[in-house]
This record gives sequence, C-alpha cells and structure tokens, in this order.
Amino acid sequence: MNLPPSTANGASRRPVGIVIALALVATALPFAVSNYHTFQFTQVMIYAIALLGLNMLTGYNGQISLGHGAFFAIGAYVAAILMERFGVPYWATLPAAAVVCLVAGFLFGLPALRLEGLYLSLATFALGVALPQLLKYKHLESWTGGVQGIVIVKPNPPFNLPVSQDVWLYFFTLGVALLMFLLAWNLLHGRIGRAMIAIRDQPIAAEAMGVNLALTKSLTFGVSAMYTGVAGALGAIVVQFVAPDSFTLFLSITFLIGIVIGGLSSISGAIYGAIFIQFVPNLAGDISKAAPWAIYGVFLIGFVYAVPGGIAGGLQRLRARYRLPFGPGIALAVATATVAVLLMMRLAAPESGKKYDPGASDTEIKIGNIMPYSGPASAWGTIGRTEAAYFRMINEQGGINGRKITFISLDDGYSPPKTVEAARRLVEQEQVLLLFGTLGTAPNFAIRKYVNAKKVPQMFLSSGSRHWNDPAHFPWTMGLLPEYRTEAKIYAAHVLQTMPEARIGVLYQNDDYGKDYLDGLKEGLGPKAGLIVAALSYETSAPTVDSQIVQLKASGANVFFNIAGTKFAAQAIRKAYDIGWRPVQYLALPASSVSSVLTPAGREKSVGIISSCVIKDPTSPQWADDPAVREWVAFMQKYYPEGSLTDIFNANAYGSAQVMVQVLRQAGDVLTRENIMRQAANLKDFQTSLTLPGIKMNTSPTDYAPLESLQLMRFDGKNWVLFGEVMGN
Amino acid sequence: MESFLQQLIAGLATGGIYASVALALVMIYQTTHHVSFAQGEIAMFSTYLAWAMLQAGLPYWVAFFLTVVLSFTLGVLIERVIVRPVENAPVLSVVVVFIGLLVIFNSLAGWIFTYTIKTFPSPFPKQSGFAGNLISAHDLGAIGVTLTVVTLLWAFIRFTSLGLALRAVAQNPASSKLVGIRVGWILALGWGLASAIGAIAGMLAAPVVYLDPGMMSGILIYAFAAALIGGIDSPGGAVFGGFLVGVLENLLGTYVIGNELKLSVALVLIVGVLLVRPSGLFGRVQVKRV
Repeated sequence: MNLPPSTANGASRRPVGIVIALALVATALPFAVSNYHTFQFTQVMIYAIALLGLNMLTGYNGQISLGHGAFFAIGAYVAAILMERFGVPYWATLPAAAVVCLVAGFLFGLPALRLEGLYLSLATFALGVALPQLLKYKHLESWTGGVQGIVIVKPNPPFNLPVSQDVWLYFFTLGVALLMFLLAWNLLHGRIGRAMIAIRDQPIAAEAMGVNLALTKSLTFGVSAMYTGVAGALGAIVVQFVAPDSFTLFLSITFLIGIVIGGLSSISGAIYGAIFIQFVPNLAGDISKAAPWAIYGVFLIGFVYAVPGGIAGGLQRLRARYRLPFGPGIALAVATATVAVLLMMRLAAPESGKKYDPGASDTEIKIGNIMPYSGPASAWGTIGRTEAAYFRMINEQGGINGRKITFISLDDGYSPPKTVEAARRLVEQEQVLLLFGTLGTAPNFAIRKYVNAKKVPQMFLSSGSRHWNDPAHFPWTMGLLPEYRTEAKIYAAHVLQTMPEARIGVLYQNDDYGKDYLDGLKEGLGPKAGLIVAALSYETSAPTVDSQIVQLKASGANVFFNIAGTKFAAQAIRKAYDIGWRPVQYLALPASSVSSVLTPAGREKSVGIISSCVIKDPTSPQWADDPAVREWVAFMQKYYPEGSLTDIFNANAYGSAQVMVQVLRQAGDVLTRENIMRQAANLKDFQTSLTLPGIKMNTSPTDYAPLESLQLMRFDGKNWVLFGEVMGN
Repeated sequence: MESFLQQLIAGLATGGIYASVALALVMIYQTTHHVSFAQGEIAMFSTYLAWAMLQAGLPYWVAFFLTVVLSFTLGVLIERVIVRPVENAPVLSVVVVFIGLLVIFNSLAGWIFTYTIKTFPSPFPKQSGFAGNLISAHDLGAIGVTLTVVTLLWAFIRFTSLGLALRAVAQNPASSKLVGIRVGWILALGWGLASAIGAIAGMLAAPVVYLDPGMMSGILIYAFAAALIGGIDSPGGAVFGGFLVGVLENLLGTYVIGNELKLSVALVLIVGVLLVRPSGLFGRVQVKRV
C-alpha cells in the first residue's frame, strides 16, 4: 500500500522553518486585515484544530468517522452551558470541554472497536444524526436551551489590552492552536503515533509486535474527540451562539471533506483543509446565487482530481519533484498571497459618505440580506431572489428618492455560524446601511446580539418567532410576519368558541416554528389546555409523517392542528383522509398554499380545513383576476421569470420588499440607521399591494410587531373562503 | 389493535422505500466496494426526469421505462467520466467525489425544477380493496415491484455470465482482468444498474413522499442503515433491512420512546445489532488470510 507522505518521510526533521514562518505570518495577520477577516481566520484555526482531531482518527489510525460534528457540538455546548449557566470564565471552559470529549470519545471508541470500515462509519454517522435531536430533546431543554440554543457573551481582552475583542480572540485561539498542534506533533511522531499508523496498515502485525490494539484505538478515539471538542468550545466562544442547527450532519461531512482536501495523515493538511472549508463555500456562493452547491460540488471534484492526496500531499509531490529544500516556501507563498488578496479587498472597500450612515449616499442605498441558497433549507432561497428582483424593478423605475438600491444577499446554508460570518461581512466589509429579511429563527438569533451592539437595523426578518418584538432589549431588531403564537391563539379562541368539548391532536415540526406554535396554542386554551390529547413531533429529515397520523387518530382526537412544513402538511392531510380520520382541521398559515399543499394533498381531501391569511394567495384561482395579483404575476414574469408562480414564498417576499421600500421612502433624505429604525417603528395602517382588506401594519417605538391580525378562512374544495372578522389586534 | 396494524403497515410501506434505495447502495457496493452517498440524489434527479416526461404528455409506463434507461445511461456516464479518474485514489477521496455529486445534483434539481413540492402519479389503482383498505394499492404495488427487482437482480447475478463477471470483479479485480473481463465496463455496469434501481425507487417513493429536491436526503440515512444491517453485500438482506428499519422506527416511536428520539434509538439499536454481528444479519463474514 502507498504510504502517506508523513510516514514515508518518517520523523526525520522537525519542520522548524515552516513553523517560524507561519508563526510570523499569523502574528502579523490581525494587524494587517480588518476585524471581519480576523474573525474568519480565527474560524480557520478552529476548524484546523477540529480537522487535526479527525485526521488523527481517520488519517493516522484508519477509523472513518462520519459523526465528528457531534464532538464539536458537545464541546460547544459544554462551553456555552458552563459560561451562561454557571458563570465560568471562557478560558476555563476549554479544559472542561477537552475532558468531557475525551471521555465521551473514549467510551464511544470502546464498542466501535468491534466495527470496521463501513460499519464504523454507520455507527459514527448515527452519532452525528442523533446528537442534534438529543440537543432538542425536551427533558434536556433546561440545559441546552432547546431549539433556540444559547447566546454567549463575547469575552473582552484581559489586562485592558488595547486590541479589539476579535483580535484578542484571534490570539487566544492561535495560542490554543499552537499548543494543540505541538502536542499532536509530538504524539504522532512518537511511539503512540507509530502504533496508530501500524494499526491502520497492519493491525495483526502490530498486535504481534506488542501494540495494545484495543487501548490504542479507543485512546485515539478519545484524543481525536478531545481535539474536536476543544475546537467546538472555541467555536462557541467566537460565534457567541450555539444551537442544534449549527451542528447538523453536514458539519461532520464538511470535516471529512476538510481532511481529505487538506491531506490525510498530515498535520499541515489540517490547516489547508480548514482554509478550504472556510473560504470555498463563500466563493461558490459569490459565483452563483442560483445553485451555489453545484459550484461547490464542482470545486470538490476538481480538487480531488487535481490533488488526489490532498493539498499537503500535492505540496509534498511538488517538493520532491523540484527538490525544494522544504515546504515552507510554498506555504509562505500561499499565506502571503492570501494576505495580499485580503489587503486589497480591504483597500477596495469603499469610503463611506459623511452625510449619511455607512451604506447610504446621494446615489445609493446598500441593503444586506442573508439567505439559505444552499443546504437543507434551500427551498427558502427563492425569497431572496424575489426580493432582489423587486429592488431591481424599483431601480429601473428610478429608485427611492433618486437613490438606487444595492441589494447584497449572501448565502449561509442555514448554519448559524455562517450567518454570523455573513452578517459581519455585510456590516464591516460591504458597509450596508441595514440588514433586511434574513431568514430563519436560529440564524437571526445568532446575529441579534451582534447587530444590536453595532446598532445596525436587523429588520423585517423572515421568521415568526416571538423573539423579535422586544424593543426594550433589542431596539435594532424587528420582525414582520405575524407571530406563530398570535396565530395559534386565534385558532385556540376559535376552537373554544365552536367546539368547547374538543379533543385536540397536534402534529408539529420539532423546531422553533412548531414549538412556538404549540406554546401559543396552550396559552390560548388557557385553563382548557387539557383539551390537547396528543401532541406529536416529527423531524424534517423523516420521509413521512404517516406514523404520527395513525397515532393521532388512535388518540381519539376530533380536532387536528397541522403545524408542519408544506411537504409534511400535505402528507398529513392525505394520510388522515386515507385512513378515515375526519377531524376538524386547522392548518398553520405557512403551509396554507393551495398549489403547494392542498392540491398535492388532494383538494377533495382538504375540504373544510380552517386556516388564516394576511395576503391574497396568488396561487388560488379566486384571486386570479385581482389587479394586485396580476401586477405580481407581471412582475414575476419580467424580473424573475425562472421563479415559480405557484410558490407562495415568492408572493410573501414581494410584500416584504414593499414594506422595506416604504420605510426607505419614509426616511427621505435622512438615511441614518437611527432614522430607519424610527421610520420602521412608525408604520401607520400600511398595506402592501397583496394584503387583504382590513389587515394593516402598525408599529410604534414600543410595538415592533407589524402584523398582529389575521383573517380566518375555510377551504371549500376549490378556494379559501374568508369568514368572520379580522382577528387579533 | 387496528392502530397497531396500521403502524405496522405504514412501517412496511416506508420500509419498502428504504429497501429499494438500500438495494441501489448494495448494487454499487457489490461491484466497486464503495458506498455511494450520491445515490439518493441521482434517484431524485431521475424522478424529476420522469416527471418532466409525464408533464410532456408521455404515458406513465413509457416514461417509467425511458427513465430507467436514461438513469442507467446516466449511471454509466458518471462512472466512466467522473468516478473513473479516481478509481485508484484512496477510499476517502472517492467519498469526497460522491459528496460533490450529491451537492451538484441537489442544487441542480432545485435550480431547474424549483423547490415547490410536486405530485407524482402512481400507476396503481386508488383502492386496494385488500384487508379493509388498511394498505393502499400503491404501497402493495411498490413492495411488489421492490421484491420483483431484487429477485431479478439475484437471478441476474447468480445465473448469467455477466453476473458471474460482476461477482468476479467484486472479489478480485486484478485476477478478473487477467481472465479477460473488462473490469472498467463491469464497474460502469454496476453504476448503471444502481442508478436504474434508484430511479425505480424514486418513482415509487415520490407518490408517497412527494417530489422535491430534498426527498431523498432523509431516505438515504435510513437506506444506509438498512443496507448495513442486512449486510452490505446481500441484496436480499438490504431489502429485509429496509422493511425492518421502517417497522422498527414506527413501533418504537408509537409504543416505546415517542417520536422525538425514534430515529436516534433505531440507529442505536442497529449499531447494537452490528456489534453482535459485525457483518450484518445476512452479510458474508469476511475471513482474512494473514
């Protein structure tokens, strides 16, 4: 078998040159680049530590792990819980995270001893899948914060050092990384490292030579988990936020990508891999908003073709071929080039005007936005594209008070740490005036503290969580959608009114959306909350919710609350009908689209369903001739022709963009961030072109919830029929 | 009791979906000894091709067979063009190529066909009239098709000379080459078959779970588990594993631990079984010579 570079090389010389060169570059870096880039490079070092851990296990010891994201998560949560619940200083959480992960990894490594290759991958894969679910588990919620996660305070530099928090964290991380790399170097080049490699290549021979196979393998697992856990703790401190959404299976896969692209069985490979997983997805997102993952995939395959042994292996081959004295030349060149590019980026950043806050000038208003164009939530990406199209139309029509909108929309793949990075890029590099319409509860949570500290408006965000209406604590954050709880309470009132003896069964998505809703329902029922006979959750990774529907039917419920995403809502309606369960059904607003829920479920199976709305559903035939709907269709055809006309998100996004434009118009020539917030908190009976008559947006400095009323409606087999008064306040 | 039966049958129905995707995984493993993470997304993409043909007005079965043929070709092409250059690369490099394929197909499907869920027709009648309509005709039909496919596959591998070549390549590529088997094309055949099976799986799953770019990402996790618990080199085992995982998951969720942790517990149980039988329930125990 081909020996990987590091063993072929043996433990010959300590790469002193490379270490000194890198240390110099690393020390100079934060002073040469902006805080935002410093933050990015801190992330790189954190990833490098995590990758080093995985590389020990997979590269050196030959045990494949598809679940190392789990250890990263454990480390992060240990740090977050210790800091927020017990007031432990941030630096003291690292040893704790290390110990917890060492033990967890060692224990996990014991049964894993019996498994090899694929079967071990499955076991680790199971760990990666199970952990986010455990973090959301209701009995652990008091510790983990459930789906909302935990927000952490960013540490200040000690001894009143005259550097920013970012620069301090950079050096702190650098110190930890150096220590970890030094330890790893010694470990891997000593007796234990040789034993690890021997086990990978010739387990039986190794055992015959007296290597304790079981102990070495499980210890490697432990140490590997420890490295990744320390990285996780650092990650939590730097990002200031942990949530189950940050540690999906894709994180584990990303780590695997990192070690392969960086170079297996190579210490420096961890650094190259970290640079890759930090920067290449951003690059892909910059190249294409339409299909960023496709670009990323091409990069992945291209890299494997170009350097099958990873970047470290490629460098090694270059060195051997051209008889270079050592690797540092190349590494240094790469590092210098990176710094040079970044410096240029920094110099290229435009100077802000004097009359306005950053992002506004006589000719331009810069708006930032963060969307999941890639990853598991890509379906929502269309919202960002519609908004971009709307602003393009406004610009063609002459802009706002003569200023053109520059809409900068970045991809975060629905991963909160990425959202933080994107928000910092928008605020610090692109210098946007405000952030508009960022999608998702966890992503918005992750950046709320940051934008409020920076006093940048985070407005009209796409999430119905109850947390955006808190002007006393977070005056720079404002929601738009009706809160899920408001809607649930309205349904609860309707149930109490029409069926006082109801037996309620609930199907809810196991995330903030479902849980907020369930809470609202319980609140609305008040003393009658006992009417809920069953509340069952599902995970979005599940293929169907059939099992839950059968359970709900068996519970004897005669009222069914369907709080699901579009696909699962449709499945639920169809399955309930097919097994002969005919309760009174309430359908959550986000899933009330005729074309993408009721029609797939079967319109005849949806008769009688009750839901609510704030806008005219342009996918419903009853509004087909409405002038506002026609205008929307014309807009879509002209500015976003590839967008779907049956996708209700596109209509919602159209409305959100209208509200944004209204606020900017109201702000007139005073385009300061403060005035923007003042105008946003001063909406009086505003209606977008698609909102239903009677539903108006109102805000005030103490009320940051623009939409608080809804119109009930019932499906008649063809159309939604509005009934009753507008409800709410 | 009725509820128990319904849980059981719902489990068998979703289990059938896992089984057919697991079968595709096993097919690739048989020939190439790789687990292709891209298989789910290729199946999803093939289903979109079928959907596009149906939209264009082709009759169901014509679209069905055309899709199977197209997918087969797609699989062969992927092997010949994209996977072949890394044939001799370390296994993890190949895995990264698979991940690359996975994200490309996922992203392309969303870009071309949008993320709005789509209905996909079932070729089977609406009412089964069987067991008081506890099980739908589609579920029955899908299980039937899966069992037919696995039987055909088994017969193909067991009784044809091409099947023999396939087994030979899986066992010992070097010796196979020496006896005149064109190893490269056998690998491509494995990929083609796997993609074709995946396409069938997708077309059978889509009427139940709806067609959207994310339809296979969840299913793949289950299928992976199913293939391993059955034994990654045993087509029959994979099908059994699929049904087992489907049923286990439903019964655990309903009667034991609730829905929140059912997937985790099911996976833990599977790992537990693997600890006792490390090659899966029906897998061939690999005896290594030292």
